[in-house]
Amino acid sequence: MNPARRLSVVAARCIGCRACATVCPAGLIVLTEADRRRTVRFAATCSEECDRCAAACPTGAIGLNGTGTGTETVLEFTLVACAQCGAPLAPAEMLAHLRATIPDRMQTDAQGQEWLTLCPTCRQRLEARRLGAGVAHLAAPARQVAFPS
Amino acid sequence: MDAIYIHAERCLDCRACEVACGREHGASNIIVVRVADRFAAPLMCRHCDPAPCAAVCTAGALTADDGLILLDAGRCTGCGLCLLACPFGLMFPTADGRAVHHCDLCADRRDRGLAPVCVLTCPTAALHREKHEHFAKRLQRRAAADILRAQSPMMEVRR
Repeated sequence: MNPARRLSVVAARCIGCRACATVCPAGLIVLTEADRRRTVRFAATCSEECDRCAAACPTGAIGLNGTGTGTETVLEFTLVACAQCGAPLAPAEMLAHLRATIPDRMQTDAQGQEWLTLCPTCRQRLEARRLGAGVAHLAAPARQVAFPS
Repeated sequence: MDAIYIHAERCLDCRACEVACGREHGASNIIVVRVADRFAAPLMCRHCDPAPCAAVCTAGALTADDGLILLDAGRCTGCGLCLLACPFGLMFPTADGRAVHHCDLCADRRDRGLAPVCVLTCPTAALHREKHEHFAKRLQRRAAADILRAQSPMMEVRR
């Protein structure tokens, strides 16, 4: 075992995104989702001579130095549900990271809706409604037209 | 600067734009969203300024450039932050989930002087492309005509 290639993960910094698991060419970081939980497993040591995971990590949670514990790191995240439809949306840590990164004034729309709490599909529906609301006959309830028999 | 305008009242929900976009780009960057069986609207990237997606991308894959959000798919790490940062849900994951794609207003075609394929395909002109200044001027003229017509019903006013 090459101690210089130990993976060290700062659990407090990890937001449970998919970056490291996606870029690792050796599949040593594995992300699974089940039952509204996301699990990220980091192998104890790295066999590749690359630093893609550390470079890709948006929060700098991964180091490839000798300070790793030498054991597999397993981090669990609870997926927050969409406020509209209840579908699993994202780890709470990821949403907290977005709230801290996106400027405050952009986090609510003109109607005061906090769109970060919605899943992408519900955000699309909301946007389609906004477009329809600008057109009088679309905003009104559908009218049944009776045809003469 | 050209922009694509959406007219929900004209959309037939035929999804020809989705098919055309998918054929041009491999995967569709436009999605037709139906609202409660009343109407539908085609939606694609708004190229926000400032853009939340570019603000959260740490890989340098999404950058804002002169009113456009540019995507360098080769730099994308697939973290998924931009998918969650889009206020309209209009950043899409690729089929393998390793990267993202979004509407680039048919940048390749624009360089060749051609219109975006969704605009060309739409049978009812629910999507149309126009210079922002021209579109704004037409709206102003229409609003002015409505005011004139309300004040003097006998006057013939062209919209």
